[in-house]
Amino acid sequence: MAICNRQIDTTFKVSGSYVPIGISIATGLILVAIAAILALFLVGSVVESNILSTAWSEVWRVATFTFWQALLSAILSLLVALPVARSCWRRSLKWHSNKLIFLSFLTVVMPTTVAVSGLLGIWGQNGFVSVLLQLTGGARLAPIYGLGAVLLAHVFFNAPLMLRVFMSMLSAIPSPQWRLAAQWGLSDWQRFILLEWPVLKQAIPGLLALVFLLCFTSFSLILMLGGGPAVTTLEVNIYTALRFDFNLPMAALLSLVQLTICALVVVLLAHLNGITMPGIAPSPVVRLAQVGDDAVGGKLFDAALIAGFLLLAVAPVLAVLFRGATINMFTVLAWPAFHRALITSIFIAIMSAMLATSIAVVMAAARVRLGRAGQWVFDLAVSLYLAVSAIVLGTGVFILLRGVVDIFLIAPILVLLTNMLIALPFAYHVIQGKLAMLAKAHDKLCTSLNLRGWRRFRLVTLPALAPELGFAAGLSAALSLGDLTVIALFGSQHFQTLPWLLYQTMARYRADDAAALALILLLLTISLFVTFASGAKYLQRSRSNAAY
Amino acid sequence: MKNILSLCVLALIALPAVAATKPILTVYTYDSFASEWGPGPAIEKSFEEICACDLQFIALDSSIGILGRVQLEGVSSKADIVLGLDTNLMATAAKTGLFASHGTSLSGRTALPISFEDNVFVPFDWGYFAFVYDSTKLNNVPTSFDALVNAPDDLRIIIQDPRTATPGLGLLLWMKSVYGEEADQAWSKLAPKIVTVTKGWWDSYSMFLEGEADMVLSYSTSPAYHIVVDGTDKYKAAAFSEGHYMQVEVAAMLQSAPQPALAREFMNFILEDGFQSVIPTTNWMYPAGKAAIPEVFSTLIRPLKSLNFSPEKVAANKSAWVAEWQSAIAK
Amino acid sequence: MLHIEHLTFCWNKTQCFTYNLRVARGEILAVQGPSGVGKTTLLELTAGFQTPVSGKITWDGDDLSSLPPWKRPITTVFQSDNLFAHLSCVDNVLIGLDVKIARTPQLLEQINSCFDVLSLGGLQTRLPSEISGGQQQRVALARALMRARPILLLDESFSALDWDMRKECFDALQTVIEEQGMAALLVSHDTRDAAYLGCRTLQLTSS
Repeated sequence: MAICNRQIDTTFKVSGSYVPIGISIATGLILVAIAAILALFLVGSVVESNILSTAWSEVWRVATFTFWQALLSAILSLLVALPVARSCWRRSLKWHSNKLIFLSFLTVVMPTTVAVSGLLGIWGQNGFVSVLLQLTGGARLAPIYGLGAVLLAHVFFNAPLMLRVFMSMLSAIPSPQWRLAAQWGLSDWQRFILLEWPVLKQAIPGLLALVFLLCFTSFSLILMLGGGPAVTTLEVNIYTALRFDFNLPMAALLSLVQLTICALVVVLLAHLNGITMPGIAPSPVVRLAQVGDDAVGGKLFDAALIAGFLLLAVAPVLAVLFRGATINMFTVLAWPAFHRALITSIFIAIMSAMLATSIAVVMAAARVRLGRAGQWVFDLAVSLYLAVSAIVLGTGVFILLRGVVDIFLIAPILVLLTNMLIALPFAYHVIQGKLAMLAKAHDKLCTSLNLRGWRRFRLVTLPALAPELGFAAGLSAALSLGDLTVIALFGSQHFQTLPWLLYQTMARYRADDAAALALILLLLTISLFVTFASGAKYLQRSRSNAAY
Repeated sequence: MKNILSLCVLALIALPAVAATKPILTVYTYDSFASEWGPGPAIEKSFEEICACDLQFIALDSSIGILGRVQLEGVSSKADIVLGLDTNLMATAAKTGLFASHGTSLSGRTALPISFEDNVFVPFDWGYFAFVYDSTKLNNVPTSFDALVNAPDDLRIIIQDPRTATPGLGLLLWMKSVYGEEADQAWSKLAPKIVTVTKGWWDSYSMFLEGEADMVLSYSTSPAYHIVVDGTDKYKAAAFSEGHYMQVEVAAMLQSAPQPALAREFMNFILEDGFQSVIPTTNWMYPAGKAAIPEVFSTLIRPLKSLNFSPEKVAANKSAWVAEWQSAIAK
Repeated sequence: MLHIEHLTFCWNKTQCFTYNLRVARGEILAVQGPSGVGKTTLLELTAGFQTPVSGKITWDGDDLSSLPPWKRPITTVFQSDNLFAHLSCVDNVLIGLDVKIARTPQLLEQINSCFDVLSLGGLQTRLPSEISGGQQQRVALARALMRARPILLLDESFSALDWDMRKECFDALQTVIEEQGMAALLVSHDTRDAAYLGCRTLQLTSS
């Protein structure tokens, strides 16, 4: 018998119709993204768009600036999130610090404009800190605008995401290991090196990639805190080319540049340590008491770190709260425009959340059954939407559809579609890790018991996946609720979402109403998020005997 | 069963009557124009009285956004009229070929500080750009553009990006008309005083109201809003001796307008009293036509010179001047 | 009669295993040997999770080789994680039954008596996390009993339990086998198991 080095793959494979469906979806996603960008070339002539005569040195400067700013933001977020995560975890037993991270997560899902105005409410020249300084005899705070402000905001709006992941990874370390650590009296540093770091480092490339992408495509934040044209990103240039110069081919080209850079970074990081982004959902494991927990120095250190982080990350939320909790809330709640926008926003948020979650589930389920190459394509297809801006997507799809569908009908469809696509990467990453784990754990058992396809999903997978599903849906709904990109292109008084109404209110000298509306929007975001997360618990409950 | 049948028959008879509703005139405008507090509602009422039609304003996010939207929609656009572009966008808009002649006579009907003749665009209001400040907080108010540029660096001002906001572009043109070739040096001297450059007018104005700056680039008519609505006269505009740059807002009808006859009627209506009389205290600008100007406007600054470049000159030089601004500021 | 003839499987064309065995109804065959010798592979082949290079698996003359795992008349009890964590014990049993079987009160009565036989009385509504390891394995046995498939595969199912618990499980196992007339393959690395059961053994050696 000839000796052949290739291992014969004779293992029984689980599969189902969801695999080809998943593959079609992944392919579709890639095609839509590319089609949308290419569609921009259809409008306006290439010659007039000055693509060839453009100062490419300027584009290069902006691209490199965007790159370094994003990289720095991601690394700084990591340097902040890691120690804070460890402190939070250390104290989760006694101080319940793990619950506090929920608050810090709010800035991730809030509309950026609201979050930044909250930030200015704390750090602005007439903000809380400045007033405090002046009362205690100091000088007014200098204006914060510039690269420093951008980095700061990036860190505090993205570190909570990293924090969440690190916390769930720490709580996933099996309790026997913690017990051993306690028995052997390992010091805090030893625990970090032996137990925590091996687990945490697996998540780092994926998290760096995610935060890098988010900061690379940062837009509103740059405009509000950048201070001027020196601090800009490719996204800002794309937006300007698209909306104000109406130079669509230029916007398309810049989009492709952005896409290429992002793709390269994602691929590079994937090579470093296979990007399976760990689940971001809450985990219930409780921490065991360890040696050195009671040391006063340690307690002070942890307290300082946690309090400091909370203050910085949660303060903007509080600022929104204080500014908005006025009589104006009642005025706003009575506006007919508010009622219309409310219904529209909630409808779109729920629909896009359910669509994004369902698609994410199908794709995640299919991904488990594919080889390395297939998995890589899936991850890319989804991550694409972190690198392509919603405005390019919306405009591109609009161009493709404008001859075919009624103009006024396109707008709601586009907003729904783009909201769903923007939420998809998040939903996918939340679900994918857990689903892969579940598949591995259950495959043999289910196959041997003839639990396959939809029946298996309904009876076995769904209850186990419920927390992640709730979180993914909640996150998607929150992101949709706060979105102000495509609606800016297509909104009108007949089709309004809450962020659009907020924007318009702000543009009419009505600052107090706007602040009240911002608070209402925040409260709504929280309620929707909590509803989905608890609704998922309902999925988990066992039903009566006869059901099985 | 018989009842349902008779109901159906009745409905069928009623249908033609329902179908013969008034024709709809669709006007794209910027959102503050169409809001409840803007000119939209009153203008809608007066026009509908004479036209036997249903006037619908579609509020879009900004002046520049309006042009982008109709370009994006192309010939499948449902808009009849576009209202809210300004003269700086006129040449670019004309080049798109999307707009038709309005067929109205403008002579003798306009009250602008400059002469205005165009057979595609009709002006509907105008104003001056100016820096607004809080008179209870700012002591050494610059009395000329040069004084502003050479003011000590602790004077904090907020401006808008010329690429995204019409006042921002207005400031750029203002700077150019005062300094000409030396504009880049003037920008370099102004740069340290600029706290931030915002995307839209409201972003900067709200920051100014929050105390983030001493002066904000806005309109000479902004103080009137505070007097009438907030009841305070502490906000004032700084009058510059070199003169102020003007903004004239215009409207035009589309070639592909679904209701061309109605559209022409509206274009003519713009300079009529029914439209013009609403403008001052809802849009906070001067009316382009011959309408009464309210009492409160007399407290506003009245620039000695009205600075203005022709739309063609703006269109030809805009990108170069913006690039010059960018490099001067970025240092 | 479970008949395995010249069943050959190769891990990478250099490491091949061949199996030959017979197990009659009501009989337990203990498969023993050092680790790495291919005990689990045998069970996987029988259950259908691996495809052999050559050879046959027949049950009462019917060839099982072409059937997917869920169509084979087999129940497997793994070393651990036989139960779904979110389902109660009785639901764990029910979920393993054919969909076509009506969930009647009579069926539930059958399960209850099954639980009694296996000393699991009263644990029906408990979650797997609320019962001991031995009890979990016995719930899996109860499921095997209710499924009534003629072939039972046990992959180190009781190896993680202490000896006393194991003896209890073996007693239950023998009850199940006799009652149902099943043919069972028990993989174990502990030679005491076969001795206690007093059954035939198959020694696997690496060659």
